[in-house]
Amino acid sequence: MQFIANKRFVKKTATLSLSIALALGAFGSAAAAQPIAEILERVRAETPAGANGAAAEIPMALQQLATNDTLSQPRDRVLNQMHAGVVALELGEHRYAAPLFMAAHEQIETIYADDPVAKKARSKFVPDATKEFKGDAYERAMLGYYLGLSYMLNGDLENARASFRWGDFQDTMSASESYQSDMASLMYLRAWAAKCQGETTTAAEEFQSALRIRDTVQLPKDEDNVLMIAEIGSSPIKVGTGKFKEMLSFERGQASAATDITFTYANQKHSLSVAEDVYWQASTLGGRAVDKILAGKASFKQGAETTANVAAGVTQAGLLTATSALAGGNLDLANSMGGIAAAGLVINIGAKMFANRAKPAADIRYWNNLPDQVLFGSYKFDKANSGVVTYRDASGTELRTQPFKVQPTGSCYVAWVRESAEAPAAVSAAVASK
Amino acid sequence: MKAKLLVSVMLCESVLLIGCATPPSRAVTYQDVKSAGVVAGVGIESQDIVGVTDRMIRDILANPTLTQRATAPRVVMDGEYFRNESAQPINKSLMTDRLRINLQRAAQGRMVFVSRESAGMVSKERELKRDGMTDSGTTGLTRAQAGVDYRLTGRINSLDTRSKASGAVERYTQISFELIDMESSISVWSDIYEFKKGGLDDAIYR
Repeated sequence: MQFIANKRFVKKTATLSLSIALALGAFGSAAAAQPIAEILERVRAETPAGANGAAAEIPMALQQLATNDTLSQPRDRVLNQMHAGVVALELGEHRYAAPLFMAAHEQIETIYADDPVAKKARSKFVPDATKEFKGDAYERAMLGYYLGLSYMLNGDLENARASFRWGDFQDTMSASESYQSDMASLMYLRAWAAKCQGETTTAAEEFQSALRIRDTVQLPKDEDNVLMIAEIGSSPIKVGTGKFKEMLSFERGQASAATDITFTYANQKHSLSVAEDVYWQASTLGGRAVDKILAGKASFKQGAETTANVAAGVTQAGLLTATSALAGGNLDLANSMGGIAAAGLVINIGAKMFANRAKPAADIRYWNNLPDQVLFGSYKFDKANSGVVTYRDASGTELRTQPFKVQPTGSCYVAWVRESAEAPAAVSAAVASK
Repeated sequence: MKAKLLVSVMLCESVLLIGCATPPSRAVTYQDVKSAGVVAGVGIESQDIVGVTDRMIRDILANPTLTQRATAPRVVMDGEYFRNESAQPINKSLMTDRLRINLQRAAQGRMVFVSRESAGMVSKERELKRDGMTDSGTTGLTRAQAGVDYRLTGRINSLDTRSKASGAVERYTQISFELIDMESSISVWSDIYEFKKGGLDDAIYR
């Protein structure tokens, strides 16, 4: 019955997709990303039936996101996939998370050379947000983090390490040289995966590298085999600044009220330390090649506006002079001034038209369910497969507690919690409002 | 009234035509697995998998230690000890399965392939036969599952670089293979396949 329901779900979303594509004249590039509905259905079909013989069921929150994905433009698909991947992790559905992140990864890895949509987005009259979303350096790096985490949770440490390495490389997109490849969290996770694979020398070197990047990171003890990951606060927000919103800048999302985060496992209390500040990663992005394109568009718009204003002034002056010349009986002067005013008017209208059509605003779509900060801790597994995280504010007041589950990842374990996980924005639109 | 209707229809058609004039869609087509394809990145793609496995097969078949023995050697060729140490998540079975299957077909009995990943499945069936739950089948019983002479090991490694000036990315990928003697740990055969790909994404993505 569930199978039929899911078939209906895919059929419904596919039909919806076709209708919307036809209605909007939607287009995709040669390398169109896979719709979320197809990814979910493929995973569901590959999932073995439960103990009672019931077919696997796609969680409702993911079904809703698949419908939202169908309703949105194909250019937002990577953003939707990444958003849905995090929701799948929050729901504990790792088998859905990994292929969702992998689909986004494949799209980002594709080189968009001679791509018609990309070319179009460079036009002065087409908004930057027309392009297919591939994210900025910090978003791509965080995709490496989540892709690796989901591989880890599926017990594949090799591909987890590959994903962390990939994420680390994405961070080198940062134009500010001093901030390149500075994600302590990814280096730490690479080291952790190496440790779990028995590569102690590599692990030790990479843990030291993580420590060099962020000296507050707590390194695990030799006997530790459980990695505790806590994510707090909400994602950095992209905003357009400048006269025409052509400059991309970042604002910190909602920071967590908790300043002291600890977890209790097998009656032992452990601390967590900040391994990553996502806002800091976003805000140290530096200049991008696309910024020059946007600056050019803004300069064009500004130029057109200035021309329109000058032409309006000429028109006004011409009209005034022509009127007074006409009153004074100087018909020749009135005639020439009238001609100048008419020419000014034409130029004014044309320039205004160009100015209005120019679209220099920066693309401010952003991955809105990233955390503000990521914290790590570690301990030795001791039979219990759950524990509790406690959040306290600066005064030491307990804000809340949150249970966590310890999950095997090959030879080690991972416990992953999000401060916001009790009320996940599972069905909110992935695309941030402009 | 008719003229207004005609104008409306023409306007609607223009809008639809503009919609159709946007970048074209493309029907699904079969593509050569050895070709670069329409979607390309700097990582390992189908043509690389085909290229690397074909080359390894040729090299293994040309090795007398492996293919000219009086008794065909028993080999395990799976992904268990074939490590991905690159920056690209990949399903290693794409490589090891193609290598094993095409090598088995080409070797024509000069090498015998043992499936270690099937050991659990085989063990259960052996128990059923020996417990009398099933008969012994038609190929007879053996004292134990087959031991192996050689096993595949190897690594996928990569080195990524990015030009700060242009934003161009390059990935050097190195795929190494070895067959290890499972008694002496001597490496009886090895080969390496390497390639480098570079590309420059559109400026709006840099």
